[in-house]
Amino acid sequence: MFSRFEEIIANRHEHARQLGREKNKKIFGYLCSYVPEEIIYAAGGIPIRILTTEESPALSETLMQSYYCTFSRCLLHQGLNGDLDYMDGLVTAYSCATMRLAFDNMQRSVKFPYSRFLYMPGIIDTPDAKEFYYKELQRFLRDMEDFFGRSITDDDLREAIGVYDENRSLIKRIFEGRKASPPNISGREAYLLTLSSMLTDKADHNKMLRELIDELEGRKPLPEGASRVMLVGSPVDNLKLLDLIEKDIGAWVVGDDTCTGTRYVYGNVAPSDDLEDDPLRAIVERYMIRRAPCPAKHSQTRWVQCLPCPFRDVACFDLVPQPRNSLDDSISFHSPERICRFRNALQLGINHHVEGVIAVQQKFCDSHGFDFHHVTQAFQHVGIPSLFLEIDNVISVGQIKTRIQAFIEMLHPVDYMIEPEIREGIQV
Amino acid sequence: MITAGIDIGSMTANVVIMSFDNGEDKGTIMSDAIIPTGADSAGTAQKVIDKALKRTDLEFDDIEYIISTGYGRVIVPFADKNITEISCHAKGAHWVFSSARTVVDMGGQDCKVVTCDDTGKVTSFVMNDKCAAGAGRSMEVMARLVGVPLESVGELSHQFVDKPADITSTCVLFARSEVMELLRNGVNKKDILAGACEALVSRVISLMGRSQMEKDLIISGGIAKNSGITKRIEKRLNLEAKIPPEPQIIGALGAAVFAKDTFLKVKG
Repeated sequence: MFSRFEEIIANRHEHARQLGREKNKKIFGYLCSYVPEEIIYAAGGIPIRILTTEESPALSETLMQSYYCTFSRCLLHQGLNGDLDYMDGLVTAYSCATMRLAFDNMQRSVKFPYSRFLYMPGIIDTPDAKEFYYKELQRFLRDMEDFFGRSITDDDLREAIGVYDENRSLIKRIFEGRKASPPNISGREAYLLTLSSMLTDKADHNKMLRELIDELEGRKPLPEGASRVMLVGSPVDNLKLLDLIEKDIGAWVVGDDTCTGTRYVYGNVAPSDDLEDDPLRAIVERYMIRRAPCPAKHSQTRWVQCLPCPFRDVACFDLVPQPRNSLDDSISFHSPERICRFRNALQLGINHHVEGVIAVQQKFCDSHGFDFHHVTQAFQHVGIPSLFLEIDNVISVGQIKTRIQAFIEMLHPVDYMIEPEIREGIQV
Repeated sequence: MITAGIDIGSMTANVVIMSFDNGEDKGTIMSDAIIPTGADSAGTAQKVIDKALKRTDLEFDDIEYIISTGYGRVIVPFADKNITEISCHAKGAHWVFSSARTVVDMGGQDCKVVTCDDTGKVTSFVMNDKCAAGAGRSMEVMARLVGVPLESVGELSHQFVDKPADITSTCVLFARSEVMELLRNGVNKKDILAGACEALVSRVISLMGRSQMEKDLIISGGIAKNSGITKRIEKRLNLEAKIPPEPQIIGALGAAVFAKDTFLKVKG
């Protein structure tokens, strides 16, 4: 059922190369989920996210010190290793300084026919920031027109937006089933969907997702009785972590707030007042305001806008412990105003009946490191405990397993731990 | 009912065999054994349980349920189930001292601070995550370097002549070269040992700062036998820590207690 998604991830470069050949399309690599893929897609290119491998990032060592996250060094290593030579372009949007460094080095050392660093402001919710990014994207759009030698009309943009919105909506629709007990799909399968979506033509992916939705209808339910955890933090693209939690230890990952998972599909471009007159502005709105932000981004108006927030008292300000059932379950998941990462993550945790949060931190990731304390505090105050877990591109099973297993033992009395028979069932 | 807990740590393998009259019984320790782990963990597991059995008139088959714990917990061929050493240390410490709320376990290659509730169930835990700093192995390296037996480090560290030497490196290898420099400069061995203990304690205290520590504090693991560490922790925190009579078997003890609970559940 999921093998076609699995194949795309396992043979990502071969798949992308073939995609470009068969469709006669240009392949654009990108590094960060802040890149407005819709523009590249509207121009006639296929954006492919560059993800990590388990290979040691040896070639990056001379350009990036080992105290930068292995995520960024792994991307650079692949560039230097010639793995990305088939790509026609490389694009990233400014998120953190480390990714910028990886991009700079790739731009310098790997000769892409086109490369561009999109200057996205660090403070994202002021009118000036939006205007600035709008102008930056206008320039990018003109670049794309020059590169592809054709003009990109508003209709082209609206069509691309339609394909991307549909992809996000389909994945979100499947993810809704993770609220159930047992969830409709495992955490590993959820990541298979978002990761493969980043690695192929979205129109094809939509077709695969529609077929999957039909197949899931008749699926035998997953085993019951396992603990429900959520991943929050740095990018997770190594499925071994999911295997460790779900197969080896035996707990379901029923939700996440990571840019390689649910955060990638938060917030559509439509409906938007701008879509009719100026679809580019609608795109800016989605990337600046409507998706859940990465901790590398800051919010200027937070103090004012947080006043009506239902989580204000429990999560951000007075830190008064509250029983979790006192929170209103009916608050809409995608609020029309600015999306707050904390509120979103808490809401997802509550709606998906999460018992514990694993705060995943790519080693040396500053942005998520600064965030960690506040995120875990927020969950603590609605009675959801959390575990801080440092990861690398290579998942070292020993210590990580002890930590996660002890955390799961902590959530439940040990004699309620999942029995091996159930764990067998998890290997679906 | 006879149960056993087996803790395959990075340095030593420990076994506790317990007997319980019934489900309500707190149980008694019938036998325990400690041997070095070595390279063959599965073989070590057999050896250490045989050693513990020899001190009783029991046969291996008399043991009704066995739970393994520690880094080698998944490679014990005869264990019925495995539970992490974090849960087991809390359970074991709680069995020895029912007032236990925080357990500092200082083992061969890691150090952890576990808090638990009044039933011995874990409520939070933190572990050293960088390297062997703050762990037993670093003490061993230091003892060998200055040429004293490991057992006498604690006593000697309290007899410093001038003042505890400054050892600032977190990495054991770098700390080792720092100590070699001190030795070359003629610094007294006792001052160096005092400095090494101070440095290790600082690391443990900062780890405790990250946890939600409550009294009573229990210190377990091999290093609890080193008064150079335990006395300094007590002094820094201004409290009296409780140290089990045999601090090295607390993980195995907790596993044996869990074995009773699990066995009763499995049996029906």
